[in-house]
Amino acid sequence: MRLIGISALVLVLWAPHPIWSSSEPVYRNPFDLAVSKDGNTLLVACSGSDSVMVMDAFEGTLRTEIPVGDFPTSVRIDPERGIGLVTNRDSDSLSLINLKRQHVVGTIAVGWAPMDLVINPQTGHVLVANSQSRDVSVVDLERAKEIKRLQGGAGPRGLVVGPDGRYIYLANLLPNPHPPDQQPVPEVTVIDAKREVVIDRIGLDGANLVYGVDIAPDGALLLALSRPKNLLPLVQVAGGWTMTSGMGVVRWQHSEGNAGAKAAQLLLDSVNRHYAEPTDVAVDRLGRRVAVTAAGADELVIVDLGKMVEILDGVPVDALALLGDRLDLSHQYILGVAPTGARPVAVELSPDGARAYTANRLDDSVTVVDMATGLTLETFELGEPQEISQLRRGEKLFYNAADSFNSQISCGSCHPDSNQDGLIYDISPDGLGRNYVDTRTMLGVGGTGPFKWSGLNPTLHRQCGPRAATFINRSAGFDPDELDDVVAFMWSLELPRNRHLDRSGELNILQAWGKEIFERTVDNDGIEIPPEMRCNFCHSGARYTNLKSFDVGTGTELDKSGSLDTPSLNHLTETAPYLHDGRAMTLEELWTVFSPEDTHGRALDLSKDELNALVEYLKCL
Amino acid sequence: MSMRMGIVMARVCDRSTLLKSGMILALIMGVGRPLIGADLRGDVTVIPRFETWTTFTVEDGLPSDKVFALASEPGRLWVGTEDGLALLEDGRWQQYGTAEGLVYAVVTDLAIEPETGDLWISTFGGLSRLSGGRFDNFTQLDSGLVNDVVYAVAAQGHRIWAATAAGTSAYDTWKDEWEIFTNRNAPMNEICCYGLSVGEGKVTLAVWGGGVLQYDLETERWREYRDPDHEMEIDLLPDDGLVSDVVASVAHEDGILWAGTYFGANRYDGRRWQSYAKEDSGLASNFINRVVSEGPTAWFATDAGLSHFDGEVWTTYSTAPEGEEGGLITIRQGESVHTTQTNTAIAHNFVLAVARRNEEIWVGTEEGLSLGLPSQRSTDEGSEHDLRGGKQR
Repeated sequence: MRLIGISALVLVLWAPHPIWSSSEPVYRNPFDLAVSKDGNTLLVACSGSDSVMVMDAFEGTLRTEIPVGDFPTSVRIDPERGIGLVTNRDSDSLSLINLKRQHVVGTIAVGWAPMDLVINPQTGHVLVANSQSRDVSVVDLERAKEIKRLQGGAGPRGLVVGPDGRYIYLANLLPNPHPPDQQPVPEVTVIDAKREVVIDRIGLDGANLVYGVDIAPDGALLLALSRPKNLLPLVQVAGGWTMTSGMGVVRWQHSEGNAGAKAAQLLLDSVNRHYAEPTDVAVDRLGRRVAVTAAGADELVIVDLGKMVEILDGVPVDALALLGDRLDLSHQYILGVAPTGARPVAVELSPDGARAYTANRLDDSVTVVDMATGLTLETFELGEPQEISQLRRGEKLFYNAADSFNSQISCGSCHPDSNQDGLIYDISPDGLGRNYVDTRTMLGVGGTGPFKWSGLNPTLHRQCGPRAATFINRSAGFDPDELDDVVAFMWSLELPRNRHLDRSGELNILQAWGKEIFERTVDNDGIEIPPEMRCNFCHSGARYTNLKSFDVGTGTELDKSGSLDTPSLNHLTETAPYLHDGRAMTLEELWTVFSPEDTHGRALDLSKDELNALVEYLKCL
Repeated sequence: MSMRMGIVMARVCDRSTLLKSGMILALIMGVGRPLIGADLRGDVTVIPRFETWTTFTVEDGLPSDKVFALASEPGRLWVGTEDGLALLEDGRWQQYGTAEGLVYAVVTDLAIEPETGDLWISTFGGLSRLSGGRFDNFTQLDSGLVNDVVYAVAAQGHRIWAATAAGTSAYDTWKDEWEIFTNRNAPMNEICCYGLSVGEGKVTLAVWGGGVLQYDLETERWREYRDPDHEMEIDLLPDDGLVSDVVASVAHEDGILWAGTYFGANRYDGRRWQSYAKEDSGLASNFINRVVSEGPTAWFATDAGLSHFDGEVWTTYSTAPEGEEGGLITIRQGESVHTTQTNTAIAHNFVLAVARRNEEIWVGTEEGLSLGLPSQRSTDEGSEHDLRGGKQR
């Protein structure tokens, strides 16, 4: 009996990773769409099938499908040139489509992981938001060349041109680097369209996950965003305000000849009704109505912009910040809510503003909504495979907030794009401000167990099951079948290509030197380094973790224990900040600031150039 | 006469004339003649003579009177001082210190990324980038910057070079990658890099005690220029190479390498070295803080005034001797010297920085920032900046 019990425990701890079909169906995963100027044609960028579907905007019939680059993320129509433009996230490229001949006529290299684009009316150049290189590529189509890059914020995501064409605005998904005990402040980057230089950066205090942006005819900037209260115990989700969803509104005030931004945030959420994960926003040409996708709720929210502005005008400037936490206002400006397909990540309006189209990424469809009534008019099926695989089911669960209290948050609320949100959280109910933990990426998470920074959860089933239900979602959680699906999906999340590593896989001279340092056994004084003090002792194996916990002196008085799970080292540049509590802004600080006694591996004997080589190697893993 | 003018006849000698054993009477030079130099493309660089000076200090809005660095762009002048950064725009001064996000108060050099307009600021406590109002800071503790004492910064496309007290770092802003150059991978006998210049496919370093190093970006190879006589303070043989290994500043433009040392200056056109000392040229002093090229010509910020050399003619701007008001313009061509006295002068003879733009020159000194204009025009009408304040002295 006892043996059986132990065996069962061993099976739970060492359960093989979930098995899923190797012949996973190819889903189209629509990611963005564009409507032609005459309103007759709909272009849908499909990130799963690496194609753009050209459809009749009224009938929903497919005219043609054009292969583009890997993982297309945005599509725009340039009516003057008669071309379509597509950003390809995984190819780091911009595709040019001849819309008459309906094929790609050119591909131009841009920055890392492009997510959106606009055509600059002042120069004719195309500006591309690169989420990983954190910049904006300026592309000259005539020369078929990227001519410069502008510094963006953290995770450039959405671009829009102002109504007078003088300015271009960039929405950035994540907060700029900040002390972990401070609230996040993502920025809106303001670009002078004529000079194509950054002239201002507007902070969105307390916001995060700024996915989408559009602009009203009067110049008011509208942003789809979330507002995390990550420094407060997450169990407060039950209070309805730990993770709220809303809109940013940036208007311009003029006094004494100076223009200044007047930024405010208003929630879509109310006390008992949440619209998780706003990902895109579109305003009609009269500036009356705004469509906002609630991607975690499978809904499209229609907002009365005039009413929203009326509320803003009634509040003194110094009190605007308080609006961001008001759960009692949205009934005044939400006109209607339309159900959509699974995970509507993008919305586009017809030129007359009468119809809204949503790209439903997780069920391969486009929902058409009547902006006047808020009713769903029809659904265009893009041809989802008949088989809904376990991974598909798991991904839908991962990105849907239905399983959390009042449908506030999904797994994707802290793991956007299955990565991480750049924040620390107070998850455990052990007192305010204790055991803060940095959000870890889900990319490549399979095989890195045990999980949690404390290393106490041996499996993802344990991590994402009752524990998540109790401490995070405050709900019944996933049922066993759902949990299997979610875990299978998480296991399937592969590491993306690391842009710091050459496509050939060869290390450059600096990286190769860093690898030698990473694997060294003797320090600069000629003394053998004890095995446990070598980098590749803890950080070993395919994921650069030996799956064990160690105390390397990084714990603080706020932590229950200094013994912490060894994190994977893959894709470090996309997972800042570092350490379990996000104290280290950069990789260098791991040793120069947070290992004063040389306890985090033998490193303090390194010269500055050796440390730099080590860091450059770590970046390319 | 509104301006006291005088022509000083002088007998001078230099090493070359001594070799010819002759003392030649100086020729009288034409007053107001513009300085002209031709670059390798044959384009002509016309440099006006600056006769009217206005000085700005803390009273006008500078954070400090000690001005180490200048950077000019249309409608804007950036000023790096001992106590922060200042911007002159639309006639107003704006200050940026550590409270505003600057990494450290003592600003040593400035560089504008030509494509993005971002400003790079080197300081004695790290490197800052000012982009759209946001400061991004880089130090030896949190980045690949090799040392926090940064003497110079320059932008080579999207690659930023920083010369520091312990080597030089290069930061690729597109790839977010740092490279470090020290004695380990470059021929640095000393690692204290004092000056930096980029252009024409090369990065040129002024190494304090280590001569001049030039890095070819295509071949990724270094070339070393050292003082052939190895005498730090004495140049035994003129025109044989660097006058000294104690190089404070370099400039490379139009195929010409200029070096400013603490013991004189050099010009190298790829074939021939030329040496310049106070004793045998129009250089104001052998102690050179900074050299700035302008086409085929160069400016030398020294501890005794500001000198300009167009290949033939030296022009030096300095304050009048103690007890006298106004300033001096000393012009020398060959052995001919004449001095013009002006009503106004640069703020101080200890010159640290120079920025030229159109018809004006900005000069950073130990005791203020001076704007020079070609004639008696007032700053209101003469400068592209909408200026208020400032004093003529």
